[in-house]
This record gives sequence, structure tokens and C-alpha cells, in this order.
Amino acid sequence: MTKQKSLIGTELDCITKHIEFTHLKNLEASKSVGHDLIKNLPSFVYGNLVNSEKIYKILHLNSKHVLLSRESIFTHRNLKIGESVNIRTFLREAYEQQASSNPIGFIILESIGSVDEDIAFYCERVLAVRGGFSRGRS
Amino acid sequence: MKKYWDDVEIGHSLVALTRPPVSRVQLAHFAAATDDFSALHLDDEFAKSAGFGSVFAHNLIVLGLSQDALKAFAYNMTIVSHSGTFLRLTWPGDILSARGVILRRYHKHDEYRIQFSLWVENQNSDLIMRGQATALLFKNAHDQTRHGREMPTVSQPAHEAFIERCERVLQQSQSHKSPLEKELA
Repeated sequence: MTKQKSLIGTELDCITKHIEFTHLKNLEASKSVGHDLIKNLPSFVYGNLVNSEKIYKILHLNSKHVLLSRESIFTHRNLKIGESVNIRTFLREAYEQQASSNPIGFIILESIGSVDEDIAFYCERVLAVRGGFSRGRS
Repeated sequence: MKKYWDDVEIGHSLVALTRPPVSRVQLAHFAAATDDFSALHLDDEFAKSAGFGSVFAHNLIVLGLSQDALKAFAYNMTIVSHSGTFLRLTWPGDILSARGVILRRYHKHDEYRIQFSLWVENQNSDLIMRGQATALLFKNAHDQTRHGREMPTVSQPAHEAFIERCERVLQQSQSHKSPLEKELA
């Protein structure tokens, strides 16, 4: 059994992130448009609030080989400047598939973000590991 | 543009949203905004050593463009879910266009929901991302007045179902032990 498979169902990370004005300012600049500064953190970036570096380390993944394959966000509450969000990330699945020449590993992560113990979002993220788990090892 | 559920129909399209070419400065800003400083998006030499021709864009920039297209469709819409599957990489200089169409329009738990099919293409009409989103709208101006809000909010039953789903994830994880934990237990 690979290291990744042995960790299925476990919590990989728990982190608290503070939503700062600079996050929104940079996000606005990154879009190259001049409309008014956004007030809430847009939901499409919620999944990136996790500590990817730590998660890759725990899963023995080399960041050179990891690509974001799919992202799904479900949210009932906006994250605003000044709020602190607690995010817990779990490994739901890890498997390999044979592509045309090389295997590809797939990692499915689930993250749940809460503000003051009130669940704010659920994010499912699928990572593709080029070359599979053995080649994509850190 | 402000819209109500009564104004929209299945098959209505989002106005295509096209941005200027993706730049390396944009990638640096996005990295700072999301704390995603992966060298694959910032350092050409690193990206080349990983087998890519150069740095490439964070896929979430593509998802963000499709979210902006949704917001341009109706700024008073509350997006409750949004997903994207990334099919190709986006390179500096690429020009992305986000498009979408209404797939479903339904009433559930006193909510007026619409479901979109979304996709993003580059300047060569290559499909970069396909996805879906579900959003809430007020039924009409009278419905908005009745609720006394700018934006529709999720109903109590829908919120409870969401919380239940999240709590199931938390419980399943707590009850699952890794082989090492089982060995030590």
C-alpha cells in the first residue's frame, strides 16, 4: 500500500487564516481590471486557503508533479476582511490510473472552513500527480 | 445587471467575458492573493525542470474568470456552488473567454435556483475548463421586498442539509484511523 492510500480518511491539516485587505487588493490587481475593490473574498479561492505545502509533504508529493485537476466549492457564507477562518483538510481518496504512457495519481481532498465554529464552506479538490505516486514522490 | 428568477429561462446565455492576455505580473499578484507561491507559476527555470515550456497560470484564475462571468450575468445572484474541471494549462499571453448557459431553473425549499453550465476557452477555441454553478435569485421584486435584503440567502432546510453533509465528513474522518493509529490503539 502506498503512503498516500494509507492516509485515506485522515485529517491532513488544520489551519487558521486571517482574511486581510492585501489578499483582496492583490486579487483585484491579478484580474487586470479597474472595477471597485471587492469586499468579500470570492469563493473560487477558498480552496487555496489550505496549507498546500504541508499537505504535499505529508502525502510525499513533489510539487513539480502536482496539478489542480478539479475544484468544487459549496458555500453559504462569504468570508470578509478581518475574519479568521479555520480550515480542516481530509484525504478522501488516493488512486492511480494508467494514462497512455505513464500512470497518473489522483488525490481527492475535502476541506471544511468555519468562522467562529459556524461552517462557511466545503471544498473538494482533485489533484493530478504526473507519473503516479512513485514518480511524483518528494 | 440586476435580475430576477422570473426574468431568466433555460437556455439563456452568459455574455462571454474576455480578459486581456494572461501576464506574468498577473500570476505574481494571484500568488500573493492566494498564498500559492508554487514555483511552477513564477519561476521559468523551475517550470522547465518540471517538464513544462515555461511558467503557467494557476488554474483558479480560470475558475475566477468564470465566477466573474456569473457575477456579470446578475450581480444580485448568490452563488452557492461552483466547480470546474481543468482540461488544459493556461500560458502567459493566452486570452481567456468565459461562457455559460442556464441548464436548470427550479424552486426548492423556498429558494429560486438556477444551474449553469460553464466553460472557458482560449484564443484558439481550445476548451480550458468546463464546470457548473448553482445560484439563488429572488423570484421577483415583490419577493425581494418581502425578504428585505439585497441578495437572496440560503433557506434553513438547505443550510441544515449542507451542515449535515459537512459534519458527516468530519465524523467519518474522526472515526477512521490510519493503519499506524490502529496498530498503536
